[in-house]
Amino acid sequence: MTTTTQPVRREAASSAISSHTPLLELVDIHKAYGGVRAVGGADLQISRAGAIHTLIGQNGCGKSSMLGVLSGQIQPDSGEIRIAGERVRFRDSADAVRHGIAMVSQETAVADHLSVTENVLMGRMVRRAGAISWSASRRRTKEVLARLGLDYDPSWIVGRLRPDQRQMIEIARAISLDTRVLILDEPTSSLTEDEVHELFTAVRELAGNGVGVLFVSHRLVEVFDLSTELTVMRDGRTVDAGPVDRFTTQTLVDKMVGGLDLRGQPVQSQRPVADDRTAALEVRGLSSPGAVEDVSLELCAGKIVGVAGLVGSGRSELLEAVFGIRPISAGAMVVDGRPFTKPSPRASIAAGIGYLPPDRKTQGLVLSMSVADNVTMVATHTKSRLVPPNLRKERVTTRRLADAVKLRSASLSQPVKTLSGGNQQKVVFCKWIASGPRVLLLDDPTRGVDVSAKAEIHTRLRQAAADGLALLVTSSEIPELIDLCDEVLVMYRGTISHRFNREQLREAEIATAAGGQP
Amino acid sequence: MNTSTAHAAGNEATHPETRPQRTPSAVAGLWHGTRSFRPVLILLVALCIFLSVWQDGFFTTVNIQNIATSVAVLWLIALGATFVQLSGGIDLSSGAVAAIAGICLTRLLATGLPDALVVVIVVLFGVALGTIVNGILVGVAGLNVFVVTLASMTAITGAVSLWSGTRSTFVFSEFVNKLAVDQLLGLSMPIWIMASTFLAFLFVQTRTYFGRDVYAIGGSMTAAKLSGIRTARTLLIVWGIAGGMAALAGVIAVGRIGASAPQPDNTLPLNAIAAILLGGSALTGGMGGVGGTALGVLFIGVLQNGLSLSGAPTYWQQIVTGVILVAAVLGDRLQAHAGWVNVRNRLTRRGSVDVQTPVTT
Repeated sequence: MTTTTQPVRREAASSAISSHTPLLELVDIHKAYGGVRAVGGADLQISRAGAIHTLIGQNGCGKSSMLGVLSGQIQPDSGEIRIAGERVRFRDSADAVRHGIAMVSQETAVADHLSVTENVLMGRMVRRAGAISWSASRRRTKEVLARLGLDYDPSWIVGRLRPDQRQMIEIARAISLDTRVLILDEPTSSLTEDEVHELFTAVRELAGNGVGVLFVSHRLVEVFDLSTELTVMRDGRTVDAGPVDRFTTQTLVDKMVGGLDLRGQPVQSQRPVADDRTAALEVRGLSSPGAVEDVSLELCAGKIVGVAGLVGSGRSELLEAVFGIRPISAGAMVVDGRPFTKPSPRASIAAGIGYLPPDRKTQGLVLSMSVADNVTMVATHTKSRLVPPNLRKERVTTRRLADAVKLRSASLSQPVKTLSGGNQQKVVFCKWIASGPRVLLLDDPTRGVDVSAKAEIHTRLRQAAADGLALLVTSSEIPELIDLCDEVLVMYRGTISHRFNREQLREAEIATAAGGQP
Repeated sequence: MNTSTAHAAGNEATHPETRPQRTPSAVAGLWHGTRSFRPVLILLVALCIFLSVWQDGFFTTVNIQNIATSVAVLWLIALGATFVQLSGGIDLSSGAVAAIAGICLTRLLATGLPDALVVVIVVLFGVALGTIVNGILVGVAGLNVFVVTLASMTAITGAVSLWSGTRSTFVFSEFVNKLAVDQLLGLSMPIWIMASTFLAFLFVQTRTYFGRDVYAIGGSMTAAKLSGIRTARTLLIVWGIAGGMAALAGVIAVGRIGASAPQPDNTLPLNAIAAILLGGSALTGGMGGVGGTALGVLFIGVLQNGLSLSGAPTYWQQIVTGVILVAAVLGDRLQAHAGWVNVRNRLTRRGSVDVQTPVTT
C-alpha cells in the first residue's frame, strides 16, 4: 500500500534521472503461470502525456502479459505500476479504467445493433431527471468523436460500419472515460492500408489532446510511422527502450530476435534436404476477395514449405482458398499434374489434399465422438452411407496410426474431448494421414500444445514429408518454421512478399519481411 | 480422470500389442452402454416396480399393451425427432405434419385408391414435406432451425384448419385399422410397428455411416464439412425421415380414433423433445440416441397410465415430467460443476508457488 513517504522519495529519485515524472511506469514486473515464466523483470515507461509508445516483441515475449498487468486483467507476482509517479494497484480491469487506463483489444467488442451513441456511452448515457436524454447523449458523443477528429453521425447503427470505423467507436468509448493512457493492442491487424491511415490520423489527434497511447503492432512500418518512443521485449524482459529515432529497422529486429547471436547463422534442421521432384501441388495466381492476392507457389513431394506472416496477412486464408472453403476469384491449381478446378472440401480431399484447420476443437474434431470415429472420418467419407462400417478394420487402422504418433489415450472409443490439446492435435493429424493425401495443408498445427507435444508433431511432419507428402505449414512462430521447413514464404497483406530457401532462413530477415519491410 | 487411469493410458500407448480390447462381460457391457440414459432407466424401472406393487391392474398383459399403444404416436414422432436433435436441430412442426398427413389420408381414401398405396403415399408426402420445407431451409439455406420449424408448424397448422374446415372426417379402412388396432401374434399392431421402427433407427444410428454423419454434424458442423461429409444432403435426409415418421404417426392416430383430427396437436413435438431430453440426448446435438428416447417415451406413458389407474388427474403427468426434466438438467450441471471443482483442487494441490496470490474478484 502507498505510504506517505514513498511518492516523495520517488519523485526525488526520478527527478534526478529526468526532468519530469513519466506519465506511466511499470517497474520490474514478474509473472509466472504454473511455473512457466511469462514476464521476468520487465519495465515499461511512457514518458509523457501525448507520447505514442510502441511495445514490440516476438510472439511469446511477454507482451500480452504486460498489457494484461497494465489493464488490470492480470495480477503481477511482483512489480510496481506508477501513474504520474504515484504507485497504484489494479484489482481488476474496471479498477484500471477508474485510474484512467483503457484498452482496446484485438477483437472488436461493439454492440452491432445499437447506435454510435449507445456504443460510445455504453452504460454512461447522459441522464436528465433520471431518464436518458438522447439529445444530450448525442452531443456528448459528438464531442468525444471530435477529439479523434471524426465526424460520425451519432445515430448510425454500428453494425453497418466498416471494420476500422467500428474500431474507432471502441476507441471513442475508451477515451470517453477520461482516459490518460489508451492501450491499442494490434489495432491494425484487420484493417486495409487506407483504414490504417485513418486510424493513425485519429491516434495522432488524440495524442495531441494529451492522451498517452500504448501501441502494439508487429508491423515495423507502422511502428516507425506512428510512434514517438518504444520498448522492445524478448523472453519476458525489456531489452531496450527509448525514443523511436534511436532505432533503425535493423537494430530493432536484432533486439527482438536476440541480437548478434543469430545473425548469419541459419538454424540447422535435422532433416536432409529432399530431392526435387515434380510438384504435387501447383498454385498459379490465386486470389480470394479481400484476403489473398495473386499468390503462386509450388509444393513438391517430400518437402515442407512454410508460410510466415502476421495475423491478417493472408496466411490462413491462403490455405482456406486452396482447400476450397474460401471463394476464389482468380487463379489455377494443378494437383499431381491434373488441373484442379472448383475446389471444395470433398473435391480437395478427392484430389489428395488434406487440411488441418487452426482450431482443432471446433473445426478439426468432433469432440463428442470417439478417437476411432474421428480418425476414420475422412478416410470413410466416400463410402456408401448405408453400409455398416467395418469396425474391426477401422480399429486396426486407428491403432496403427495412433501408435505411430504415440497417442496417449486410454482407449480408441474414448471421446476426444477427454484428451489433452497435444493429443487432440495428433488425432486430427491421424485423421488426415488415414485418408492417404498427397498434399497436406496445416494451419498453425502446434497452436496451444505444450513443448513436448510440439516436438512430437514436428517429428510426425518430417516423417510425413519423408514418406512422400508435400506439406504447407503456417505458424506464428518463425523459429518453428526455420526448424521445420525447406522453404519459407512470407505473406504481407495478402501477397507473398518474400521467399526464402533453406540456406537463407534467418529469423531476423523473416521477421523483418513479415513486418512489411523490404 | 484420476491418476490411475492416466497411468493405464500411458501403459496402453506404450504396449499396443498387449491391448486385445478387454472383453467386458456382456452384462457389464450392456450396463456401460446405458450410461447416457441411466437416470431415466432407473426412474422407469422404479416407477414400474412401484406401480406393480401398489396399483392393481398395472402389471397385466392388457395394461402393458395399453401403455405401449397409447404412446405409439409419440414414439414414432420422437424417433424421427431424435435424429433431428442428434444433428443439432429441433423440430416443432411434427404435430402439424402428423395432422395434415391424417387429413391427406382421409381424403385419399375417399378417392378409392388401394388403401396400402394411400398409406405409402401419405408417408412419402410427410417425407417430402420434411425435406422440402424444413430440410432445405435448415440444411441448405442454413436458417435458424427454431424459426424455420416454428414457421412451418404455424403455416401447416393453418393449412390443416383450412383443409379440415375444423371438422373431423370419419373414415373406415380395413388396412389402416389393421395397422392401428388389430393384433398380430398376440400383440397389437402398433407395438410391432414401434418395435420395428425402433430397431431400424437403432441400426441406422449405430451401424451405418449415415448415423455417424448425423452425430458428426451435431457435434461440429464445420469439422464434418471439412472432413468431406455431405452435410446438406445428410440434413435433408434427417428432416425427410422426421417428416415421414410424423406422417406415419398421423396415419396411426387416424386409425386409432377412426377419424382425422380437425386441428393439430402441437404439444406432440414438445412432448417428443421432453422424451428425448429425458433419454439423455443433448439439446445441442451430437450426443444421445434412440435408446434413451424410447425409455423417455415409455416413462411418460407409464406415468400417465399409473395416474389414470389410480384415478388421479393425468395432468400430474405433465407436472412430474417438467420437474424431472429440470432435475435431470440440474443433475448434469451439478456433476459438471463437481468435475470442475475436482480439477481445480487437483491443480492447486499439485501446487506451484505461483498460484498463491489470491485473485480478488
